[in-house]
Amino acid sequence: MMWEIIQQTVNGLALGSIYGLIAIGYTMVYGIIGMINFAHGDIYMLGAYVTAISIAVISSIASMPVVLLLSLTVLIVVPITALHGYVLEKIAYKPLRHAQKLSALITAIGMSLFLQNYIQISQGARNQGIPTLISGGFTLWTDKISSLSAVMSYTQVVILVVTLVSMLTLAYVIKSTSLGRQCRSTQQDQMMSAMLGVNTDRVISVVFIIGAGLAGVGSVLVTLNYGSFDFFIGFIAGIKAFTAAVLGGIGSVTGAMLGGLLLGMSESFFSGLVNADYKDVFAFGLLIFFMVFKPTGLLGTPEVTKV
Amino acid sequence: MSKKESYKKLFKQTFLFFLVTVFIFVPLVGIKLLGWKYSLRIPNALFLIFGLTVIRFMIGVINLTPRLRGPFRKVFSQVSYLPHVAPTSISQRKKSLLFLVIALSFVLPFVIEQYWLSVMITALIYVMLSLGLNIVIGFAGLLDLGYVAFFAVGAYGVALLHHFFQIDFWLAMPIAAFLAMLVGGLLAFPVLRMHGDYLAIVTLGFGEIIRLLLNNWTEFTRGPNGVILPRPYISFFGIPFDKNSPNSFHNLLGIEYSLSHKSIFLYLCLLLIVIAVTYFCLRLKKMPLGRSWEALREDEIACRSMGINHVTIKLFAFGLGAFFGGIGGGFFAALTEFVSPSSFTFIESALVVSIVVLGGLGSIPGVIIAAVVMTLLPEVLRDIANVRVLMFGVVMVVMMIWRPRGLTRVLRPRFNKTSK
Amino acid sequence: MPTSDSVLSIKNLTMRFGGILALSDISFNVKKNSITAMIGPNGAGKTTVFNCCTGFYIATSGDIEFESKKGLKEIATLIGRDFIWGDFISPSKFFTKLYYKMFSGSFEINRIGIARTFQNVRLFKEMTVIENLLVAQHQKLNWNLFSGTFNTKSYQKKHEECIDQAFFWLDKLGLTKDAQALAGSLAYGKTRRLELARAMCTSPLLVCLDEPAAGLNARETEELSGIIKDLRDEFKVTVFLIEHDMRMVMDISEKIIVLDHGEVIAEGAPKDIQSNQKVIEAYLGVSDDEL
Repeated sequence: MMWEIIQQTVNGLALGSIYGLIAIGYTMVYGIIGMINFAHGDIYMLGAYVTAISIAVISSIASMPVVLLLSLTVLIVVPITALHGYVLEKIAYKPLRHAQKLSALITAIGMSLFLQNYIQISQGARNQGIPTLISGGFTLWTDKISSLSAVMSYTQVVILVVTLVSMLTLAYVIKSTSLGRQCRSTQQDQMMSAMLGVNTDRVISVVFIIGAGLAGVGSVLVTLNYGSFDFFIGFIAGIKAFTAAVLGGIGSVTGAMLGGLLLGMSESFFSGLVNADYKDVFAFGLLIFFMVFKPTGLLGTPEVTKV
Repeated sequence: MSKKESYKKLFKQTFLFFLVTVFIFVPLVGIKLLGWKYSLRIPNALFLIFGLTVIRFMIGVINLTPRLRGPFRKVFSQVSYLPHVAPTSISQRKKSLLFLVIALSFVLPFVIEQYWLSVMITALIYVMLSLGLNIVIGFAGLLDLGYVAFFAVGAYGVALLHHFFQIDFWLAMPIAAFLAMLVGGLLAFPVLRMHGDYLAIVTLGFGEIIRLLLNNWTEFTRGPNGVILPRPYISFFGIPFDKNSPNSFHNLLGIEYSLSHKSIFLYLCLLLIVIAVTYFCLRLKKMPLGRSWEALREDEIACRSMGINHVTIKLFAFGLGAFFGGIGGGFFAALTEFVSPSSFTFIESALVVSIVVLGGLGSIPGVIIAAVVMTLLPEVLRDIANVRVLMFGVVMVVMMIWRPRGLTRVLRPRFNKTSK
Repeated sequence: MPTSDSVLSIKNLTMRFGGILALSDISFNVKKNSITAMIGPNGAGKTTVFNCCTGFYIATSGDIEFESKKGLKEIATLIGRDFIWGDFISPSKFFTKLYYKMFSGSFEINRIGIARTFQNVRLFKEMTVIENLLVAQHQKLNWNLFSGTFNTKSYQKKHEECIDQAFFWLDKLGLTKDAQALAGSLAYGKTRRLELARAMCTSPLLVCLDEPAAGLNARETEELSGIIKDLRDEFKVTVFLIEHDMRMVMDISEKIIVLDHGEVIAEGAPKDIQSNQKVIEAYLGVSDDEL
């Protein structure tokens, strides 16, 4: 039993940190323009394809150590997903900045459908995959009776380390740079920030770029961990990451990470100990539960309805 | 700015645009994954890159040419059609046109082939779904992205009622529709207090939950294999359309057996129901319930201050929308005689949403036309069939940016002082 | 303190938003068939009082009693107060609260006879003027879907009555010409009047007007004063209003309540208020002749 608990904790942490990385894109965009970027999950899906393509291309050109290969992949994937995030905002959301909420929401869904099918048409509908790049892991615990052991794979180590590094960088950027201050002020009051000389359009673009970039990091890590993906993964991953953002309190970056870990852990425990078939149902159920009973999440601030 | 300078700026912008398209299309279109290898498709990418760059440049040129700029902006600028008030009386031309359309749709099944007949039935099913969703999105302004769940409940309701209890379609369909209504009410309860984005994502999650349940609860729903209904499943109110049975439809009428009898019957029944539902929806606009929905969409707080119970109103919107979705689902099961979870994915919900958007949120004629066009277009133009979903996405984005209120104006009813 | 001739009595009302005390322990009465005005500097808590009275906020503590046609009603109880620990011990208290929480809400307030307008006009912008007024009369209409669909005689009759009622108020407020226009296309002054007409269409006993003269010019304000007086004299409605236009307030109201920092600092007839030292202090910077 003990080994299973440890194993699920490790799995949950790895899964959760990926949810967290994607959730940041949702939460930052929501914080700044108050809309759910439905297409964010599809940016992540797109990242998975770019990951596989760049690994295939790089390894066909030259064989190199895995560490170098992965660093190069991240360096290719992140700018490309970030660029997609930027273009997405420019095409679909900027013209609707002052439109009704319903319009912006419908556009976002349209964009999500568009991206899915764009990839389906350009890359084919079937499952894709990459070879296992990192194998093996640490044994954390071995049960003396059944001699089953809890293993933390090296891939999971990479996931945790990369997530930690990205989070710390993001925290530094938001907290201590001029850009971060502009982001925070725009989130608080867009009009006032604009009057004080903050280029809010640029800030919004930057937020999309950061969100999409982190989703790119997430997609490299997921592809590394699971190896297989298709054009539809963005949908489920998107809802789950959004759930994570809601769990943590939408609008809060720390909350998104926390919510991601919470969701990852509870999901992996549920699928490990209860029923793996219904793990998605469980995640969506959790989403609905939180939406109904604690819509502000763990770290969100409550809104007072203005009459 | 002088002309030279502005052209210089345009070239710079076009070059930047070119770079962006290169980075977007080269990795994802120019390279295709093949297992763990890849193949190059550079011409495709180049086509897109240069095509879009040229378009971008042309737009820039048009914007710099005063003579072209005016008409260009006129066509492409955002126009949000405000509703307009109905004229005092309907013109004779419109009346005869409406009559012609209805008459034609009744004659249609007798003159077209079997294949097109089933396409037309599908179109009518989508009209049904769109009218139902129009109540939720168009009237009440609640973005429901899990509408397919009610469609699924209707279809599975009919299929499972036959599978377990051998209940005939004409009894099973209403039961399934009421079941869908119940499920709609069930969904409405948690989402009553939400609005906008939250509502959208919760309904989305709900739709997925239903699909996953259908997929995984194998003992009850038979899982991914789906439920197969007997062929022919539908009967002429008890008289089967069977070929070999002695007292089947064609023997009783003394006509030759044809596969299309069943489809014609199904089509006509569905057509009658659709016409009834359309009339009901048109009346709704003048009824307190429908008007309350629209008021709710416009301003919930003002609505509450008028003594309107926003909770029950929302419940009704979801329930009624789900009811129509359930009827559509029942007919879907009768048409395909087979249901499986793969027919009830998010894409279906998105399709119906895009129909409602295209028709103009709240405009009933617009929604009906959009539903028929969106189902027939991929059939007519076979080439676009595989970019169907891509098209829906583009339609949603373009419509929201270009014509956020749909292609037609919404008609508001006119109320005149009674002459006393 | 509650007198038999008061329609609304506020008792020890306290409202807290997080750590901010918006209203602290205020009490006053609104006399039946009178015009009562509430004034005070910005941020004094006037709109909060309104929101408590019309059921959009649930007061932290205190009662608001309203003399409706069906007897005395307490507003916060009617919307469903939040549960406190004591409720879980007493089942009867628990279930009454649960009942109100589940099946009641701010819409009940209008049904017992309180109508209101909003500081930032809230119309159903994409509906016609006449439809706006019909929405206000939905309580009187026949909701049966069948009689509605087939437009039965009784349904039609009720509907026509409501249309006539709507036209009556349009006429009263000089909006008849705009009956078929979209509410969103009206000029600002007309939207204010339409909102008042809409509130009156719900046939209230008490109508709460949140800054009805804001943004109106002198002539329009004068007209509005006349209409408000008519509401009291002709239609026997009690008017409770928030207003910054002192000339109008002094002209029409019988009683003035002055709020500052969430407290009632003065109440009484316009004359007494004008000479009240506390009020003058609260409005420091406003010259005497304007008060």
